[in-house]
Amino acid sequence: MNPSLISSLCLTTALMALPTLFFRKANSVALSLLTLMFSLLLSALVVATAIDARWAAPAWLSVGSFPMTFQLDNLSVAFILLLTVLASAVALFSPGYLKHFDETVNRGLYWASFLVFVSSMALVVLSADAVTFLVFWELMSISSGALVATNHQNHSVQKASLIYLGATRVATGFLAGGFLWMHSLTNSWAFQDWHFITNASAQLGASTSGAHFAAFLIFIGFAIKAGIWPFHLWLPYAYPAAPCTVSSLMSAVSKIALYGLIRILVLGDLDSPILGYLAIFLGTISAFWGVLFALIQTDLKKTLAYSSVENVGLILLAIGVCLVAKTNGLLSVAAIALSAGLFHAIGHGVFKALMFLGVGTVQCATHTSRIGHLGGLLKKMPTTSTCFLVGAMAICALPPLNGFMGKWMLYQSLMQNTWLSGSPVGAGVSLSVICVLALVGGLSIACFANAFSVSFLGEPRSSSAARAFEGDIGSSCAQVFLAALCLALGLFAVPVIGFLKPICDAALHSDTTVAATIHFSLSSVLIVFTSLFALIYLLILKPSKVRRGIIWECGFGSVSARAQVTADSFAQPIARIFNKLLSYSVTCEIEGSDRRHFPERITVAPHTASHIERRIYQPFLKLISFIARSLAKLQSGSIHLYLVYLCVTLIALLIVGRSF
Amino acid sequence: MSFTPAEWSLIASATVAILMVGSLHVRVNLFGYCVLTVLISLATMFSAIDHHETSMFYLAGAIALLKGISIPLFLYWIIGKLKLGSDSGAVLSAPLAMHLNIGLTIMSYFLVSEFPVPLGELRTWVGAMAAISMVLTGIVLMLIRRLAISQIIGFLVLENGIYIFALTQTRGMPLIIEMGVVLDVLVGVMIAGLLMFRIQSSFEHIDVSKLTDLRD
Amino acid sequence: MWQSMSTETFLFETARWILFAVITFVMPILTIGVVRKTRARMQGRMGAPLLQALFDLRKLMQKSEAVSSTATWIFRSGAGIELANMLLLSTLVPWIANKPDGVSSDLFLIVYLFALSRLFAILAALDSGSPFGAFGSSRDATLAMLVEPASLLALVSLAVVAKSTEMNVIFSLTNVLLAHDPGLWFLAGTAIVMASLVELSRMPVDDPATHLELTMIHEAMLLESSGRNLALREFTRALKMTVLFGLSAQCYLRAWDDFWHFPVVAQVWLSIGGILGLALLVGLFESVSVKLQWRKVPEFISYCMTLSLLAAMVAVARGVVH
Repeated sequence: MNPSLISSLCLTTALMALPTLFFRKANSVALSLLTLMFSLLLSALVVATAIDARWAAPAWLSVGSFPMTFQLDNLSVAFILLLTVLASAVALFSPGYLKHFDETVNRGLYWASFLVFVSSMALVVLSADAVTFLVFWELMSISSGALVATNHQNHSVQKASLIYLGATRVATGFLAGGFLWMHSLTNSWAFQDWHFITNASAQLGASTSGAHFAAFLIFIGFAIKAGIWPFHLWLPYAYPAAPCTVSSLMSAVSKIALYGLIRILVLGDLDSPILGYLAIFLGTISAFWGVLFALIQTDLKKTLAYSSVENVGLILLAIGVCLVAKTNGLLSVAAIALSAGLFHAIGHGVFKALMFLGVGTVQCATHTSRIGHLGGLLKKMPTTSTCFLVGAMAICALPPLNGFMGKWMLYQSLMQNTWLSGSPVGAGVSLSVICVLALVGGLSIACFANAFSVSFLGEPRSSSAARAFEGDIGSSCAQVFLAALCLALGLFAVPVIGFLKPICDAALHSDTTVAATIHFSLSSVLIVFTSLFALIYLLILKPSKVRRGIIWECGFGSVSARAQVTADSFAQPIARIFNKLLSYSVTCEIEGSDRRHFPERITVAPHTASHIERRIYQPFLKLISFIARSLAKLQSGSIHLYLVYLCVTLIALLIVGRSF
Repeated sequence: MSFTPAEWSLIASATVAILMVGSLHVRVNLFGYCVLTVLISLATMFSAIDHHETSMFYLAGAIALLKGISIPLFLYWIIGKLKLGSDSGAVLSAPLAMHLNIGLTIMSYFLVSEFPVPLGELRTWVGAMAAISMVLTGIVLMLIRRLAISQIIGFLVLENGIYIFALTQTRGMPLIIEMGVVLDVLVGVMIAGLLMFRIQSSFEHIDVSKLTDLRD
Repeated sequence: MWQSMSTETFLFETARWILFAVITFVMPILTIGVVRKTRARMQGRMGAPLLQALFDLRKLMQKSEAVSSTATWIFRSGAGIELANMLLLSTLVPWIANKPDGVSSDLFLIVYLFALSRLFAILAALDSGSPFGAFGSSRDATLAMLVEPASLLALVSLAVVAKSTEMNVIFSLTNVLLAHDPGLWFLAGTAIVMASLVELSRMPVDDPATHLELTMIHEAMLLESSGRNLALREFTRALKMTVLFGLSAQCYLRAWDDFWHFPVVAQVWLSIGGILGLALLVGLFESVSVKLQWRKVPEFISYCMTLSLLAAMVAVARGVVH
């Protein structure tokens, strides 16, 4: 099959989508079907095309005199398949979800940006050179910015889209700097010509001095876009402000940034241990920081946004282990780490999308995503709740779901690094990372047990939660599909890793055997577990006589639903332990004449603040706006003054030009 | 990994020293010090058996009696008199300081492997490591505590570390000097304890972090 | 697998599994019995018979069940899921010497299966809508979060020396890599004992005999369970206690050099004796200690972490440097 069909398909879809902009009340079902068709066609084309194809776009489609080039290898196939799966699920889900917005939301704008977003993501993944990459990267950023601003009448959404666009600008700036630097070093834009090697070795080829600085710039650019600590601040603004469908696709975007890291740095044979250890350090901190902040959020969408920081951190950690191990010549360790990163990237894409769709259904049914206003949804929305539970289990890395396999491989790569590195430093780093990962595991159980049980179990805490209803058939289908995919990816991890093998081989220039290290089968664990459970259920639980009654509340009569635990109070013991990091405090005010014995009103509120935001970002932004204001004084409005500037500039340029 | 009984007791005493850092209770710390010193005296006894030196038996006895029992008893009496319960801690929280201390122990392991002193017929790296780790533990103890009594206990741990170093690295010190050092420590602690009474009566606390007020 | 096995091996394996199943069902009852008996004796009482837990279970099985009207399927299936998971774990964890091999014994798989049980315990406690259960589970999640790094690191430090993450290999009595390492085994064993006291909500962390809903941890999570549901949860907890004590007893036994060369039967008897011995020690400890104030519990766990860190230090010195 002609590979150029793939890029043409994506480009035509992006162009075709543009007229939709002008139909404010576009038909969602038709456009959803169009997106589905596009996703299916794209995945079919990708699967049918020969791997390792390279092609150039038609001549009329070039950036200036520069022809766009594309390539298709296993890495791009993996990410395109992830993208199409998510896009189809979200397309299925969208029509029902959009109904819950009022008429102010422009359907045409939504669908146009959506299609442009999906196709530009596919094109980013297909790009074979830096210029093409940046063009579609920008298209992707702008269309996702438009999607974040879907509900732009809302003030917080406006702020969020500004922050998001600002973050993408900075990220693109760093990337462009790194790309230009590499171009000046190698005199080529193609990724395959870029080698980040400073020590020339026979195995890897020639060295490029100064490539590490370029690699550093590129690393920072992708880290900002992926939402790595300490650049994660845009994430908790953008994800909650965007519609849930968009958030679930955007969690795939952060994967595109990690794809960029793998494509450019790992496949470019980066041999800098400093950058590798930096990736390990930032990844570990992100994982811990993300889950710690996810725990104390009271909005489901914010919880999920922070948990994205955690998972992206885990993937970056895997990439870091891969880079360090590769530099030290431990190819088997590097292969496991890279597979872990890729597998977790795919897995996280699936379960995070699943959970965002679940929150979307909840939002449709109750018009809120604040945990404190929910409760008792499991009875009213059984499918959504069960799918959300599956997602929560996957995100907590519980067997037999896909999250566990990703984390297991990460642990395995760290253990192998301990055994093989032979240096106490390597072993010490690996063991401390394992320690932090265990802490992250414990925290994520607490976090998602909290999020799930407070929103879906117990009694409803508000009237809107009491009136909740299950979403339409499309949304249920999308969720069940993704939940089943979580299980399938966990049970059939070995074939998936076999599919990722060529990527590892290409990255490490050797034959890797990752699948062989998995010495247990989750299927048999699942079978034993299920049969034991069925036995217990049929023999013991089912025959038992059950009476229904009220809960035990020390004999007061019945307690109100508001007496139930809230997300704040569930998280409080842990928040108190980490109160230095969270700047956590609880204020309690008691009002009434005899406050001690007969309080009339008690208000308890926890407070947290982000140190990074308050101590670093805010002063920095203030400085920038101060400088901007000072510069603004130049703009006085007087034509004569402007002519003076013009004259001064001209003379200065002439003087500068003379010296060359 | 096979160690001699002397080495086992040294390792155990270094571990006890690390565990002491984690508790802010003054009495628990004192008990820890007592256990640690008895373990050191056991180590002295075991190496006396190994090397057939009778003089070291006397030394072991003196350490157990003077440093292991009389000093803790004296300090216990002071704690009772001053009604001290637990130290409130300074700078770092106790659990974190304990974990940090393990880092210092690991550092001492690497320091020992590059040690200029030639290793004797015993594999003395265990002893040297225990000694350095204990000296560092003593310093950490003094650093993260507020009360003067904890400073004394920290100092005693530090002194024990120095003693272990002398025991495992030289083993040539005459009995009379060692005895002198033990007595010196005893007298030093006595004076420090009495001074603490005076500080308590003049300032109504023995919080060393507040002693900066004395500067003019 | 079964085809390649001769009839004799097949019979032998079957007998081994049956014996293992019997031990798995008897030991939890005995362990609970020993702890309770010791506590009673220390308080100067005769105490209930050693098999009282079994009689309690029989009584609970015959009772009918009351379930909160708020509860959903999670509440009742939770008990089944926990027990099924614990039974599965008892075949994976090498808590007794010469245990028949389960489907796998990967270290991380085991740790995350324990986490699965914990998640469902928390969900079941919150499902009834009871604030007491919710507070209990909030504390339980906190403790688990604190203790997880310590227990994982203790096991990982053994794995560093054994050069495998398979528990069967780490605890294999033919593996020479860990044969003469009393220090490491002792540190790891103690760390696991302390971690299991926290995991099981036993004495310095939570008093299992207390009856004040606001301070309980594990008992508060069981507050809404009754009848067969309660019986399942009680048995699950006893089994968990046996498995965790068994794991640490295995560590302690391996610290004793002679144990490695004993005949198989003696090793099994010593394993059983080790579990009961630990139960006795825990009973003694619970009689003389008091429940810690909630804010002091992290300090207790920090000691557990310290032991694990020391074990990791020894393991790195042993397995990587030399």
